[in-house]
Amino acid sequence: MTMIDPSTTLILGDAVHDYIFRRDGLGGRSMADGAASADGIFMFIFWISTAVFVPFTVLMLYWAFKYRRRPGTIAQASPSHNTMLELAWSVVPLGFFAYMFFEGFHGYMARLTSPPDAIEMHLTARKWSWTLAYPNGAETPVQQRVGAQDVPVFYVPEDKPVKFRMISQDVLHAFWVPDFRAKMDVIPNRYTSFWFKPDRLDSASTGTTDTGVKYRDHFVFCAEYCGDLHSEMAAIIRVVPEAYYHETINKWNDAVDPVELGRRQWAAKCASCHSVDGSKNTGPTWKGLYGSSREFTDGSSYTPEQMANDDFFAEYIRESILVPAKKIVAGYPNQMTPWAGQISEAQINGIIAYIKSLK
Amino acid sequence: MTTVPIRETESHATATGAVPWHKYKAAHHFRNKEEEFDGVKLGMWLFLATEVLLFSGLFCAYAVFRILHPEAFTNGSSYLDWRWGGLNTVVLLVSSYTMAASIRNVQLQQFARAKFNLLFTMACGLAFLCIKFLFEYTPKWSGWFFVLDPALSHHEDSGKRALGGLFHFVEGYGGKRPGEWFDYPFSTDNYEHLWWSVYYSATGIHATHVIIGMGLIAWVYLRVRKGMYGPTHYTGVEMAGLYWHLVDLIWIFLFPLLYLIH
Amino acid sequence: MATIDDRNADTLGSAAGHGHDEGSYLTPRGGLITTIWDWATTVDHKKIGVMYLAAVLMMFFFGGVAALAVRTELFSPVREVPGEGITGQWLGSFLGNPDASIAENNNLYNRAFTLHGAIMVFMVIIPSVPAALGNFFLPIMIGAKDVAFPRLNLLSWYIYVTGSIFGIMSILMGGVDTGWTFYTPYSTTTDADQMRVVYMVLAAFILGFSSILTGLNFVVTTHKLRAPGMGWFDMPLFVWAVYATSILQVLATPVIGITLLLLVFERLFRVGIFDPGLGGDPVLFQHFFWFYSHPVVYVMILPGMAVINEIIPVHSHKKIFGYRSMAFASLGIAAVSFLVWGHHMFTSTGELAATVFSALTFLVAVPTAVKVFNWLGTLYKGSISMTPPMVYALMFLFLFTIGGLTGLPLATLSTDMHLHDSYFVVAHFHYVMMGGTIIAFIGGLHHWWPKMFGRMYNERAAIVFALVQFVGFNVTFFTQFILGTRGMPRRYASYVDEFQTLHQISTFGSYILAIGFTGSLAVFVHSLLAGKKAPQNPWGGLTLEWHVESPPSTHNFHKEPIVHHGPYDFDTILPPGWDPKDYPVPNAHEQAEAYAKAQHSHVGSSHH
Repeated sequence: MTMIDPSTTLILGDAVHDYIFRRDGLGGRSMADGAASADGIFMFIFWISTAVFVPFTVLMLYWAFKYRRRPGTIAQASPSHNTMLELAWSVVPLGFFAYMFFEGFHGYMARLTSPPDAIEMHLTARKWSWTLAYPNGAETPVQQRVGAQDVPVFYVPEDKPVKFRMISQDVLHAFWVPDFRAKMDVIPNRYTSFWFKPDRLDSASTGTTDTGVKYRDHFVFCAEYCGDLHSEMAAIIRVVPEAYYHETINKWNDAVDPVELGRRQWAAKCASCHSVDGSKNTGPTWKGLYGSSREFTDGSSYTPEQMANDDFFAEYIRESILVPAKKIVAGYPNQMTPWAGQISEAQINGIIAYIKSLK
Repeated sequence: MTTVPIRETESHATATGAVPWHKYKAAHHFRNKEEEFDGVKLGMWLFLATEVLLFSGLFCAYAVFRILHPEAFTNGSSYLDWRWGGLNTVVLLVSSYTMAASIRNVQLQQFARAKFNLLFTMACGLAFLCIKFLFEYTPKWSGWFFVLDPALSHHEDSGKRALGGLFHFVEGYGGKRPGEWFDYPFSTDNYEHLWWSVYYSATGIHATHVIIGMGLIAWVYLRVRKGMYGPTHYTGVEMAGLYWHLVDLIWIFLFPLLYLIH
Repeated sequence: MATIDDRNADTLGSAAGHGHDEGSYLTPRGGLITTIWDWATTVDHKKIGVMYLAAVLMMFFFGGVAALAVRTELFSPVREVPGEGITGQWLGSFLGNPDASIAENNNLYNRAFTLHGAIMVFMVIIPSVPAALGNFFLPIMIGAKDVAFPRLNLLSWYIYVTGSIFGIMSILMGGVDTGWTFYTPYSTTTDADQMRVVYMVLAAFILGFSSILTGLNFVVTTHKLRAPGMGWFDMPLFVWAVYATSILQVLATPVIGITLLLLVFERLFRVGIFDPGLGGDPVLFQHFFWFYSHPVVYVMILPGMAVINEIIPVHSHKKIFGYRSMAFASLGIAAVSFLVWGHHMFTSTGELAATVFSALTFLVAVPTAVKVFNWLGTLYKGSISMTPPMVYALMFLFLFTIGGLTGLPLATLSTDMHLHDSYFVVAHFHYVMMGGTIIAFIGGLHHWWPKMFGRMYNERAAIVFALVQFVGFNVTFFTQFILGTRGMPRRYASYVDEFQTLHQISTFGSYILAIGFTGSLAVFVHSLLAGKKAPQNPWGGLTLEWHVESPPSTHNFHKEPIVHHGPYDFDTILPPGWDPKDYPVPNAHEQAEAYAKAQHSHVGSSHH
């Protein structure tokens, strides 16, 4: 549908496009089905704008110089309006605008309507992390460092349509994958969706696993302001071969020991606020939590003996996950999302086991 | 400028500091009184437009939530008694009439009647607020009903009394305040507090307007007493009147939306 | 229709020739206390305009400091630990507690950008041109002694100050981190135990009230107080645009009023209309907010256009091109702007309604384009003086055109899915709001400064600092377009390393910009202290403010003016009180003669 395809225009056009959209490792290329058409419209608007702006500026400066005030002269007689000209510069832009609108409309509809065979995954957002549940119920245990945070890595198969059904547990967030040229808000109490079909890996890849499988990483950013760690609320979408994708998510779903399960839960849901190395963050660190004393904002406190009692400790941690506001550790804000209804008992057990393991 | 015979029957000639209506001159930047009157009137209409737009936000919220959660709205609305709302509608309509009459009185130099009508309008405003607060808000907040409240007959009275028996307590009824403190004693829908939020926001902001309107009328009343308004200069009375009609008009919209639609 | 207005030249000219010299509005009426009391209780629109100017410039300073803090923080991708490098040490001491966690430091950044946004939008841009310049010049330009409701005007100023004090109180209490858009449910839940968000929201509510009253006043003034002979299409285009702005202010602000009130109720009483935790709808808030805030984008830009409408013809000494289409464009923009709020929400839920908003958004671009072309047409065959105001006007054309054109990919649905909430948007609205409105405001200040304060300023220095601002502006914000297309989200305290170079260039640009603004301030201060006395009509303008003394007398005109010519009839009218001796340009006398000749031949021909 798009008349202008960035790959077939002049070399200058390619160079400009690549400069405008350049990302480390990918050049300026978009990496999902339909995204190239958005780039095409963008570049069409870019060149039209340039074609308007350059002559406009040149004329403005040239006239400002040519008709500069000279001694003994006054402004020359010139028409103070010209109906044809004024009509022309109203109607001609309108024509271009109409074209831009229709192109944008088609592109938008294509980006909103997911194909029926799309793999559906469930994405949950909260302050300040993303959790992706795969169709088999697995959650990703893999993390990668982005800036000052470890963020989750979401595996998706190449060249297959994937649809994220998204919801937020607290405030507004927005799921943006710049390389796919698309974003969608993630809203509490209401589902929104985001689908994409990543380009094949042979068109570009950014790395290889230990076992020699090629993959390609794309940043995910939260684009709707959501508070303190808004700028750390990233994730990575890792496009991998389809067979490898299935193999991986099935492996994740296999039974694991509770400590490992807890670590994965931490990685996916807790790491943005709770450190496991003793460093200070939005929430208290988990390191040495078991058997430590606790003081709360309401003035009450738990002794190390209480906190070293397995049953007492488990009860406290469970309550803190499900209804965090009940006991807020002194010196920390009441910021945490309540997890009641959002997390299984097995996962809570895993977290408790994991915290105990952090001596 | 029109010539009007001046009846020196009122105290306006002796009032200190006040310019009597027949000596009133337009502010220096207006060419004449007529132009000033037109200007003030245009300004007032624009201001009324902003008021309507202010309430339009609430009407939009009402419409959106009513469409999303019709049952919550029907259920919530059933706790309002149309008789109190209707009585308040009558009170405001009467007050609009007396307000309009007072403008006419001033134009005809019937100052005694004008003053009476202004006072009567204010009294209606007060009556409106009393009905609203004592007979509508209070029972919902606290469970205390006025003894003459027709709704009382539908509920089981706990036997507790206050203010010499004027108020009767109904167990389990109170707590219908907006927001998270609702305890939904009779709620059948999780979204019912949205209804109450809209109800309290709309009627609360409207009640604030009633209070402001009464203040304006009081100000106008004092100026009429000082003899500052008359056949050739009655700008203030007219403007207070416009404002009061607006307050009335908004209630005319609120009443069916809140009380009558089920 | 245009005839020479000899009578005006006599009756309205310099007061020196008349017996009833009442002194300028600036003349003190007594001692210091008396003068302060006189200003604090004045109903003179000129003094109120000057008081707005002072307040707006002060808030501009605070907002600017916040902007520099934001840019400085963004110099490095992740907050550096003090002690590691010079920037680290410097930043550490500048931005707060070095031992704080990332969250605490980001929080500081979030407060800084919220402060910047809220101050610049509510306390600077919205009141800048209408309340400061408009208050001073709108009545004079239509030949009135004052605005329709002078006391209401003073009240608006006090309400503005009250609102600003609420805002400052909120900042002193620790500041808010909601962003100036106050999106729910973040704004209803953040700092839940603190009152400062409520204070900031109330500040915006109160400022809105001030803006309604000013708008209402201007609409009535324009309708009722035009001088005899001034029909609607004889009004200066400044008046047209401020009039259109005023209508927008009056009609759009009440909606944000109720929205902000509900937000306050939400925080104080947990009302829940916008809070999904209580069953409310956060998207409804966005609809309400943008129903106001989109027209307000035009409340911000139309006055900028208004100023350019005056500067370009006066300094080109030529009739403006397409007067009527300019006037209708202002009204057209005002009308359509009420129908495009949804274009801020293309990615909110992905609903079909977005397409309607996209189409309407393109529609609003047409009158904007018409205006830009008309300004260019006015330059053609003009007699252009490269004065500081003209330099600002050309800067405006350059920057505003970029701002307008970069609006196109944001109006296009499929590209907005990528660009929404990115730095591309940040750059776009800074080109429009700052490159447009603020540059026009400063240009207008240079244009009318001699009239307002009766002093000339150093023009050469003014032009130099204008160019510094131009360079600084483009360095700061052009880079942000590229950051946006490459994937940098807005409101980020930290970012991935690959964006660093562009961010650093942008930060340097902001420092250049700061130098430029400081320079302009110095030029004005120097003018007040040591500027040459300004003549009545330094630029040779035709509108009524150039018919009165510099600075104007208390009642503006000694007699009611009668308007006999259009505001831009430079081809037939000798500018009033335009004495080339007052304002030495080379061969000024020859110019005057040339004018006289043209004037003479025109009078001759108009009698046929």
